[in-house]
Parts: sequence; C-alpha cells; structure tokens
Amino acid sequence: MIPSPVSVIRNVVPRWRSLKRTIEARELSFPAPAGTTKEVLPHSIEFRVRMETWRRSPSVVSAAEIVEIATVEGDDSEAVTAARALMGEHFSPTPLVRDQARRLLERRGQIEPSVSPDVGALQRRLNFWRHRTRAYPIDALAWVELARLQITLGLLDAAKKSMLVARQIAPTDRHVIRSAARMFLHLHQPDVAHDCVRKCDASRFDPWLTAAEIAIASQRGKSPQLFKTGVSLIESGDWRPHQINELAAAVGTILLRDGNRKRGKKMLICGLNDPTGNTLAQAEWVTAAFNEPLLDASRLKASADANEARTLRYYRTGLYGKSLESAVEWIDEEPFSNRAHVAAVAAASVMEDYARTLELANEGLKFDPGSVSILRNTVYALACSGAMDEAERILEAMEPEDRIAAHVKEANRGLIAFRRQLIEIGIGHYHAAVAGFKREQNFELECVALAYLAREAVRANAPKAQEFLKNAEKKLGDSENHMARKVLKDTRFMLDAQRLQLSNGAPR
Amino acid sequence: MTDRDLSRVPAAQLANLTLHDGWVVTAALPKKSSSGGTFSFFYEVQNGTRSGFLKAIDFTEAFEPGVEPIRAMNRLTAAFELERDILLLCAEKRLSKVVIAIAHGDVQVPGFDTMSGRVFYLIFEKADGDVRGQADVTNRLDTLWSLRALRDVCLGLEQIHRHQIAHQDTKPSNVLHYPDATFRITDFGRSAKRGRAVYHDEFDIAGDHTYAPPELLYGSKHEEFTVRRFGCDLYMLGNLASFMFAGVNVTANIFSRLKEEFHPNNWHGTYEQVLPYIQQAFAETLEDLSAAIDPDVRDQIIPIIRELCNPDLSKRGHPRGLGTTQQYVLIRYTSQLTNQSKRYELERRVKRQAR
Repeated sequence: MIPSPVSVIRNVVPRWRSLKRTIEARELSFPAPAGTTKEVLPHSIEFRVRMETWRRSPSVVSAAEIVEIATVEGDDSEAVTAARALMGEHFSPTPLVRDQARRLLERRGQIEPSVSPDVGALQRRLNFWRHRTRAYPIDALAWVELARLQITLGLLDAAKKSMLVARQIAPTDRHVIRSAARMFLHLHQPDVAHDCVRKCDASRFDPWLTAAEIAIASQRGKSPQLFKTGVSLIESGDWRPHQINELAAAVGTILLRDGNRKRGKKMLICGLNDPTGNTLAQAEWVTAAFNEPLLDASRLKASADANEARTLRYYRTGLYGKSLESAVEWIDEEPFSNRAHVAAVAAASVMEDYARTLELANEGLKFDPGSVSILRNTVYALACSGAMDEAERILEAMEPEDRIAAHVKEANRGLIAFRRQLIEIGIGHYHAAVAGFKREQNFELECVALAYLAREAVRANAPKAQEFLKNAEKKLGDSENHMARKVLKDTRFMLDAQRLQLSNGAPR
Repeated sequence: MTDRDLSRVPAAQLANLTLHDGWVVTAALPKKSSSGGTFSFFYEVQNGTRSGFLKAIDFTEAFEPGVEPIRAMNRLTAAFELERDILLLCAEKRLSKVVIAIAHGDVQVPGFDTMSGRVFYLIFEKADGDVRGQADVTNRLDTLWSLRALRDVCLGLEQIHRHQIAHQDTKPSNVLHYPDATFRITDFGRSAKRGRAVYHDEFDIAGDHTYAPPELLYGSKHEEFTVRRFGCDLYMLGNLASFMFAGVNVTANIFSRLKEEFHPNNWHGTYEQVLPYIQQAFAETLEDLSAAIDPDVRDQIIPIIRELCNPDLSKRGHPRGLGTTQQYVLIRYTSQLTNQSKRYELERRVKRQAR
C-alpha cells in the first residue's frame, strides 16, 4: 500500500530554486515600507540635455548616451527610439552598446528576451557557473548556483565547499543564507541548517530569514529563537504583505500545531495576502492536516508559483494524473527535493503506472538514496510488476521509522504474499496492518489497507473477496478518502469484469 | 535648461564680445550632451593666433523662481572659486595631464545691470575633441590611442590626488585630446579638495550619475574623504577603460542587467544587501567586456577594470594595496599602463615591419 505524501509534516522551510526563478518569485526584493508610494523622480538635467542633443543631432554617441542615462535613472520609456536606432542598420555602435540597447528594448517588452546562457543540460550549466566562479570569484550568487547544480548532480562535498565560499563572501545575504539552510536540510544536517539562519545577524531584521529560522526550528522539533521577533515583524505594519508572507505562514503553522487555531489561522490568512508558492503549499497542507480550509482551487490554478501546492491539492482530491504533472514541474524547479520526488512517485503508483513509478523512484533515490517513502513506493511498484523477490528484499531491508511505517510494511508483506498466491498469508498480513492502523486511530490508512486487501483478494479470486470488498466499502462510507475510493472503484470494476467473463463462459 | 529664456541670461550672451585680456568670443558652442555643468555656457575664443574654449559661469540661476538667492549665490560663487583655485593650483604645479585655465576673469555684458550682467569665465586651451566617439565603431580611436588616453587620464588623476583633489566626474566628455597626441582631464566643476567645503560635497553624487560608482547611486557614502572621493575617481577611471576599449560604461552596463527590483529607485535595503546582485551583474559585464576588448591587450585591461570598478569599495584598487593606505593610490596603474602602451606600440611596429 502507498501512504499519502500529503500526510508528511510540512514546514515553510526555504525553497532553493535557480536565482532567476527566485527573483521572479519576488523573494529577493526589498521594496519601500508598507503604506508608502513610489516617488516619481523628475528627469535629471543631464537627461534633459542629452534628450535635446539626441533630438538635435542623432548619432551613435547621442543615442548611446540616452540609453545609458535612461538605464541608470530607471526610466526606459523615453529611450526606446534611441535604442531602436542603435539596433538598426544606419548606426554602427560597438557590439556592447548594441547589447545594452537590446536589453532596454527587452525590458520594455519591445523584443523577445534573449536566451539565458544558464539553460540546457545540467553538466553544461554546471560548467557555465564553474567558469563564472573562476573568472570572478567574489560573485557569491554564482557560488550558490554552482552549489545547487552540484547537489543536483550528486557532488555533495563540492556543493558544501561552494556554499561555504558563498557564505564567506555574502554572510548576510538572504538568498545565500536561505539556500545554505535548505542545502543542509537536504544533506540531513538540520542542526547546521538551523545554525545558518540562527547565527546570521540579518535574521532578526529580515522577515525572510526570520521565517526560515522559525520553520527550520520547527522541522527540528526545537523551539524557534525568533518566534517573538517574527510576530512583532508581522504586527509592526512596516512590511508589505509579500515580504512577510512566509513568516506569517511559519508563525501560523506553529500556532496551529500548538493548538491556538484561531490565531494560527489568522496568521496563515495574513500570509495568503500576497503569497509565494511555499506559503500556498503550506496553506494547502494545513487545509488537509488541520482540516482548516484556507485556499480556493481557483487561486492555485491562477498562481504561476504553485507547483507544490497543486501537487498536494490534486493528490488530496484524487486527481492523480494532474498531481503527477504538477509534481514533475516541481521536480524541475527543485530537482533535489525529496518531497517532490515522493509526491511524483506516489501519484504514479496510485495511477498504477508501475514503469513510470520505478523510473521516478530511481531518479528520486539518486538524490536521497535512503528515502523510505520512495523505497516504499518502489516495493509496491515492484510487487505489482511481478518482481516479488526484489520487492521483498527491499522491504525487509527497510527499518520502519515509526509504528505507522511498521503497519505499512505489514500491508506490503500482504501484497507480496497475495502476488505469490499465498492468499491466507496475505490476508493475515493485511489484517495485522488494519488492526495496527485501528490501534493508532488512523482511520484514513485503515480504509486504504482494507481497500488494498479487497483489491488483492478480488484479483486473486479469493473465496472471501466480495466480503472484503463490501467491508471496505462500508468502512469507507462517505469519507473523503480519495485514494481508498479509487482503489475500491477499480476493484469493483475488476470484479464486474470477472463476473462478465464468467457469464460469457470464458476461462478464468 | 531648455525652458529658460536665454536672452535674459547674461552668460548666454557673450558671443562677439571682446574680453579685457584681449580674447574675442567668436562663437557659442552647444552644451555638451553629457555635461553635468548646470551653471555654465561654452564659447570658442580667439586671441591672435591662439584659440581657446571659454566656460562662462551663469549666476542667474540663483534668481530663478523657487531658489533662495543668497544661499544659491554663495554656493555658485564658492563652486566657481573652488574650480578656479584648483585650476590655478594645477597650473602652478605644472600638472601635465590636466586641462588648465590659460586665462580667467570677468566681463560686463552690455544691456544688463552691473550686478547681474557681470559674467565670470575661465578660458582653456582648445582641444581637438573628446573621446565619446568610442561608442561608434566607424569613428573610434584604435587600441594604441586608447591605451595612451587611459594612461594619460590615470596620470592626471594621480597628479591631482597627490594634491588632495578628487575630480569626481571623469567621463568620456571630460577627456580631451590635444594636437600633441596627449589626453588631459577637464572640468573640475564637480571636484572636491580635502579641507575645503563646497556645496556639491553634500550631494550623494557630485558628478554625472551615468558614470557614478554604484555605491553612490544607492546613497552609500563613506565618511572618509580618500575612500569616498578617490574611490569614486578610481571607479570612474575603470569605467573609462571600459569605454575606451568597448564603448560602454560599466555603471550603465551593470544596471542594464539588474532586475527592476534591484534598481536604486526600488531598492530600500542597504547597499551591502544589494551588493551581491550588483557583483553578479558586474561579473556578467566583465564576461562581455572580455569578449569585446582587443585580444592583444585584453589580459591587461580586464584586470584593471575588474579592480578599479569593483562595486565593493573595500575591494576597489590594486590587489597589493587592499586594506592599506595605498589602496586608492593610482601609481601602480600609471606605470602598468605606461609599460603596456610602450610594449604594445613596439609590438605593433615589429609586426608592421615583419609584413
């Protein structure tokens, strides 16, 4: 059986995506305080004199000067004609002057953006950033990009070194510190991750770093040091909603976890005023975990930064195909994210696409070879594909991390037994698992285990197959357990098909 | 500048006047497109066979609506006096790479009263032109000339720094070339002298914003004169190197790569907080410059730009001087560029003879 990836505890730990993507998600901006409006500055005297010269005597020099001053003063609108002239055939500027004009036109949306050199195969991108860090070693962000690609390619020690350099160059930079923290979480060093943000001077003033400290402490099961600081940053009213959205989500999650539902919900709603994809995913997780509906489906559809939230939502609501699609996009953004791989593998498993499941599982295991969740799905997919020995070998090598995991293991033993036609043994394992879930008061997994028992019994033509199916359907009742419901629906279909074959006289 | 009635501005009415030291104003010149001089008009002047370039200071801006006249007059006269005194000092010390004033004085413009009609001026030796044409591939100086120009400007800045003067506005339009194949820095209207206060000292950026170092554009001003003012000159020299060899200025190139949220208009954090993004844009700029600069001198020029234009003021300057009192001293670059231009000239001659 496959436990739901939605049930895994989630915290608003920083995401680590490419610098370009992080900038697009507005995670690195530092706008004016809330309540202030952008001051529109008049053109400088130099700007006006240059405009006059450009109008009076258009030339490469006067056009280039307009483009330059417009770029520096942050007002491209009046420089479009000059930029176009520099891109045209009548002028012969140097290549870099032309490039500057092209970038101005790109910013104005007048021409298509040029392709970034940081695209394509991982190795190519790795080489690009490696070259950059050699050519200009004090570019901290280049070291972070390099570390990210090194992690993705499994070069863990190299990644640690790259991140160390980045932290030495820019010890208080938001992107560097959040990326470093996330990297150490991935490397199963949560204490080091926590230290990255805890010991950073900027964490007490920068809500993005405060959010990271609170979330990572929560992930470690420790009390956050900056909880009160975080609350006062939110309540100060100085920050724009987007700047405090992850902080509000981090604080809200802790409050909910500690039983302060009203205040926790209020914080999460505050975070949803202008959320990142991380906050959306947190809200989606809270919706399922605390039964606190916070998000409309339409909001997730509209957001360009909600792959994780969509993955969880679609899985929770039984839209497994869509969940898989979103998970694959999520993997594309955060290839090293264990949660992304687990979600993709789980969705593929439920869809009974075992080849895809194994393919995705292999990919995920490259980044986290010990991932129990992925291995569990691998066991399931192998058993369902007929590779029982391998499935059993992996299953028996896995040490269950808690009692729930032990019951899941028991259910998977049942699956393997059924597939080996050891029906009574299989039923025994499943019954043990169901009893275990019942003891743990995990109604959802109890229903799932019963559904799988029914499926395997019907599939194996076991004598009590119909009874198992009815029991499972009765137990499920009207509950919103999409996974169990899907398994039972498929099983009912299987049973009907078997009956039809029988009535047609086809051999069993 | 365009919305003023110039017929009422005495400094704009000097054409055809004869000055008391024998100079005749022959023609008005258009304002330089990249001139930061807000209070001046320019003319061609002749004195027998000698020709020159006159800068007339316009004090009437002190009487514009919304301006406090006494304060403005004080500021304008102090600025004029500082520029004049610096030029006199440069002349006295025989600084070879600085455009020095060959005459200065005042003239009463007919038709105006004795107070507002008195125009103060400075006359400079006339140059062949400036180096702004480097942006145009059909009209640019070759590598050897660019090396010479850079060396001369470097020496000029080194000379004035020795006298505790920071230029603060070193840009292509302020680098003039002369018939004797030399280049000199001009326009001390935005300069600063240690120990002497002038009104533009209070500005975040004294010179042209387009060429200014990024820390000043983000309002980060170092308290110390040397660090802030000489650091600015070093940046502008590196910027000029980029312009001479690739036609672009580093500041504009960095900003053209920055996303909107990191632009000073939208950034409300500190300069230290935005620095990593500026450094990344600078790294990209260096990469592009590396591909654009003549391969014969690339390995010498790129390090100069990298060191002089480093957006981190604490890392700006020659690596051997970082953190020492020599950090913002240009002598190493002067000798480096002198050697480089001589070597390049020699190599070119050898190549030509071999052909």
